[in-house]
Amino acid sequence: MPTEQAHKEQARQNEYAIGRIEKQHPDWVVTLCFYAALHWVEFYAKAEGTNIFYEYEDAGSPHDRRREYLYDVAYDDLNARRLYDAYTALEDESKVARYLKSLNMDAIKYYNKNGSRVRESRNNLRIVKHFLS
Amino acid sequence: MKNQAEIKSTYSPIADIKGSWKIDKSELPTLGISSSSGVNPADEVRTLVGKIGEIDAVLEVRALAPQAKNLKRIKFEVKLKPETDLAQGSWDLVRNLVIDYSWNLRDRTKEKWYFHADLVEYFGKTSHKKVASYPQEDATSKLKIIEFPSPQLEVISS
Repeated sequence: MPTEQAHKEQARQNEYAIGRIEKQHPDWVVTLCFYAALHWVEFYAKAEGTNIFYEYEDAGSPHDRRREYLYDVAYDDLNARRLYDAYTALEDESKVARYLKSLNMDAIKYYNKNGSRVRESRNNLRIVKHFLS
Repeated sequence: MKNQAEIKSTYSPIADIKGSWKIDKSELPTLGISSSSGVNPADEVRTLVGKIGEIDAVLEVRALAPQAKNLKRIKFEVKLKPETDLAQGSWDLVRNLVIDYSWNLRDRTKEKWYFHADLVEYFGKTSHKKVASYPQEDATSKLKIIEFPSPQLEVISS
């Protein structure tokens, strides 16, 4: 089982990779933003002593469990609606980038055309990191 | 004057009202009864489905409960109209509405609600309980007229 430090390191590695591929692969930037955020959630949970997979078993898939955990953290602990907004926006945007959900073109073309969506993902990652790192 | 008339139906009674009744309390959430707050989860889900349906870009919605007995954990599957340009923020509107609604329910009830919006391109087969949908299914089109014989009542004078 990864330690909290391992999740922190992975989040940072993903952030580093974002800067390296931004121009060539904006679609993967969006996906990396989400996976960096995911590791910040895991880091926070471990630091707080929460076992997401055990305590949120009823939620369903690992992504569902993580999201419900973050909902409780945002509502109960941090009173930070924008943290939950940012994380769910990142998760949704990464599905657009990976699976072309509701797109009629490839993801690179879409994000080159709509650079604001990439900038928004980077901003959402900053919000998640602000609260959880 | 038959003030003491007894009406006896030839049909079998559905239940013996003199008998003891038992309510399986685990079934209560299925009925949409929230014991501590008085909020009816099924009504809340239906209301939210209607609000999602009012968003211009939305084509269809269905609200699914992974656990039939827990209507506070709902996945709202949403199909957008084919011409929708995601970059214009239509999906952001849907997601924010769902979060707003569940956040507000937590404020009102002090209970945990987990509502999540999922963008889908088609509605697949599911084992989850469908709680509500938009557009509403036309109940009358599925109504079957079943002919029952008139109850045969017998009046017995005392």
